[in-house]
This record gives sequence, C-alpha cells and structure tokens, in this order.
Amino acid sequence: MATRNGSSSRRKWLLQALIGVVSATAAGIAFPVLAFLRPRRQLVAGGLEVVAPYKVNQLERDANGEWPAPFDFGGKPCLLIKKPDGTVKAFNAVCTHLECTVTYRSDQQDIFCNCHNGVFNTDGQTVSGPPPKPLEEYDVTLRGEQIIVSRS
Amino acid sequence: MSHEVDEYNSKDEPKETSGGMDHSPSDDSSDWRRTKRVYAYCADRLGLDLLVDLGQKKLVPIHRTTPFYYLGGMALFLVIVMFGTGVLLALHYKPSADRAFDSVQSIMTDVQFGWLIRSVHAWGAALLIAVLILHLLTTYMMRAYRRPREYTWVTGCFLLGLFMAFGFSGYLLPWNQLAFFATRVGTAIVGVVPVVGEELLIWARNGEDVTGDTLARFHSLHVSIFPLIALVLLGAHLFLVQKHGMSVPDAAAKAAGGKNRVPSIPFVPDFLLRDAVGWYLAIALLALLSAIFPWELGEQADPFGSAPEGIKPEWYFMFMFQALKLIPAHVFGLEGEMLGVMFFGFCGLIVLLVPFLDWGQRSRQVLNGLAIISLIFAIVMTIWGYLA
Repeated sequence: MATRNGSSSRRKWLLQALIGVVSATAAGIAFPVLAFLRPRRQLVAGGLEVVAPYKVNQLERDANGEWPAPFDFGGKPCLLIKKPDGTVKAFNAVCTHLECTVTYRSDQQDIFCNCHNGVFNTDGQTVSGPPPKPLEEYDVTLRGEQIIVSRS
Repeated sequence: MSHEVDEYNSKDEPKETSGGMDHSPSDDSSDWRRTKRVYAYCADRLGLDLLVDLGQKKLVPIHRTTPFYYLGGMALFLVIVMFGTGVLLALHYKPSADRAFDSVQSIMTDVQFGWLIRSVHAWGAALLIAVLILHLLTTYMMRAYRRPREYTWVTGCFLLGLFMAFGFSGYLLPWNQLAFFATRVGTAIVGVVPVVGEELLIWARNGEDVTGDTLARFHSLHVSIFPLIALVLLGAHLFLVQKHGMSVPDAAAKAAGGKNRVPSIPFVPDFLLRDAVGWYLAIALLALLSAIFPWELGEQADPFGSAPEGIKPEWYFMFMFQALKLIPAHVFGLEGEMLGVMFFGFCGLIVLLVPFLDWGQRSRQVLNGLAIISLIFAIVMTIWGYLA
C-alpha cells in the first residue's frame, strides 16, 4: 500500500472496500431470498404400503364406461388394472413422457395417455408413442378381495 | 373540462406555426384565461411541456405497409385491457387449491358481470398473443429491427415470451382439469432441459408435483411479478420506439425517392385517432366473443385422476404440443422430448438474435428461408393438432 502517491492508493483501497461491503450486503440479501424461493420440504404422504380404495370385484368399468380412477399412493396417482385372467397390477400412473396421468383401456388391453398418445401394455412396457421408459410398477398383495399396494 | 380543451384547440389552431401555448389568442375570455393558467401551472410543476413536445414532434410515415404500425398500438391497448380485467378478477379470486375452482365458478355465476370480465380476460389473452405474433412477423418483414432498433426488437421478443408466460401461469389459476394437466406437461417440459432442468422444475412447481403450492407460486407470478417485469420491459420498448422514431421500409423509401421524402402524418391526433378506431373494433370483438362464447370452466382438477380424453393446450402452444406427440421416444440415442425442447429453445434464440444475424444478402436469404419453414411448420402442426 505504501506507494509514492499515498492519497490515490488510499482512494483505491477505499473504493475496493466499498465494493466489497456492498457486494457482501447484496450476497447477504440474495442468499435468503433465493433460499426462500426454494420449495419447502414436502412430507411424503402415506407410507410404503396402502390398502387400495377398491376391492378386486370393483375393478370393472362403471355404467359410464369409466375404469376406477387412480388413487393417491404416497403423493402419486396409483392405477389398478385387472387383466382378463384376473391378475391385478398396480402402476404409478404418471406417464414417463411428460407426466400426464395415464388411463386403463380394458377393452383394448392397454394403458393409454390422453395427452400425447403414449401406449403401454398391461405390464407397463412402452408399446408406441413418445414415452421413453416403462411405467413404474408397484407390488400387489391380495388379502381376499382386499388389494394392498406396496413399493420397495 | 372537455369544453375548455375544445375551446383551446379551436382558438389555438390558426397560431400553431408560432408555437402553441405561450401565445394568448386575441379573444381574452375568462374561460380561456383560466385554461391558460391551469396549463401554465401544470407545465411548470409537472413538466407537461415535455409530453406536449413529444406529441407535437412525433410523426408516422405513410406508405403501403403503414397499417402494420397499428399492431403495436393494438397490443398496447390489449395489455391495458388485460391489466384492467385482471385487477378486477383478483378482487374475487381466491388462490388456493381448495377454493380457487369454487371462486372462479362464483365469478362466472354469482358475481354480476363476472362472466363478462373473465371471458374478456381470457379472450383478450388469446387476441393479445395473436396480435403480438403478427406484430413480430410484420416487423420482421419490414426489417424494422435493423440498426439502431436492435433492442426494440429484443425487448419486443422478451415481451412476447413474457406474455406467453402470463398465459401459461394464468391458465392454472381456475384449477380445473385442463389447467392441471397443462401445467404438469408444461413444467415437465422445463424438466427435460439438460443439467438445470430438474432444479428449474422444482422451482417452477414449488415442489416435485403440481399441488396447491404450485398454484400459490403461479398466482404470485401472474399477478405481481410478471406485471412488474411487463411494465419495465414495456417502458423500455416504448421508450426505444420514441427515441428512434418509426422505421421506414426500404421499398417505401425507394418509391418516394429517399427516406426523408416519405410523406408522414402527425402521431397526435391523426394517427392516434386511427389507432382508436382499431381499439374500438377490438372492444367490439372482445364483447362479441365473450357474449357468444363465454370462457369455459370445465371440471375441478383431480390431482390423482387420469388426464381427460381429447386434452389440448391453448392454440398458441398447439404446434409444440403436436410436435411433442410426434417425436419418437429416442432419436440418435437421445430422449426425443429433450431434443424437441432443445430445438424449440434454439428457434426462440434465433428469433431473438435476428437483428444481429441479418448482416448481408446471403444471411438474409437464410433467415427468410428459416422463417418460412418455421411458419409453415407451426401452421401445419397447429392444424394437425386440432384435427387429430
């Protein structure tokens, strides 16, 4: 710091100190603001296992031709399907393409996404359309007519 | 007041050449003297003379494509309509997942003229986007983005992007099925962006999924953050338009034998009055559309239900929606949707940079070619989307 021109170097130092203090203040304000913008921590609703709101014998189309709607399993929609041979399967109904909620077409034996025409088979594998990955499958345990869905 | 203004105008007219307000007319009636005093007071305290100067100096060139100039004024008018109706809607709307749908339903059924205000707001949004797209296309065709107007173009592009974001965020607020899935898909598209996508998605949704938290975030973006940004950008855009004056297309300048020889009319009142005719037509169109086709509300969102059949986005997102349907799952080992999103992002970047890419005959031909191809692509995809 000790140069020939003392006052000019002092000015330079003061300016740098000023810039430093203002930047630190700006950072001190920006940090809590940016942290504030982050979503709050979300509680995962429900556990790893749930009793489905439908019984096995309720898995059929209603009078309007509607298949039982997906239900909340840990914050994600869970779709139950029943194959013609009576096997019950459960999937995470969130389409792997752009996250619409898929629907079961029992007459065509496939799972369909109304948003971008993605088609999956009854094992959740992609058949056609844009979805890049198969649907996530959950484990199904039957206790009489009761359906228990779980994930590992 | 209007009487006094009229009187001032008629009295002042013959003296216009000698410079307006400072000169007293021969007839010193008390009305006139009072008007003059009020004007002098305002001019002194509020700097009114600056505005009067601006109004007197601004000229609008008259040529074959002059009607294109109306599009900017039309967009501005629609923005004012959107602010007005938006503020009114906010007085009855309740931004929460439990109450949003019911409150919009009550706006549509219980609140007097609520159906009208909401329909004008929704139709106004569609009309605004349409006018902005035409404004962009005609500005491109007239090549009005050239030096020194590069940043008028850039701020305009940002405004178009902002108003599309307005449309997207406002779409969720009624919390109906269509809105819910449009938001799921729209934010999932953000999530596809490489590297930062996942983080952006969480910020946009205010969590991993679209929930009431997302609604709170979209609401505050739609009613406070975006409007503030809009005012700043709009201010910059209009300032630049005033600063640089109206651009004259090459063809018009050539036809008149030079840029400075193109005939022009004063902005105030000649051009403004013509603008006003357009605004009247816009009011009529909005009233007509709202009365005949009140905006639908649909069914309340069910976060766990399946997406309804025949789900479609607003028309200005249709080309993207249809294209995303058609792109296969994997292209050259990359996820198709990522490629699509990157492609649209790249197109947007080119549009933004047009003033800096037009540096000669050759590059202009390339730009024109790209413009025509993308326009045809967008139109074909949109029509296909509606037919499919």
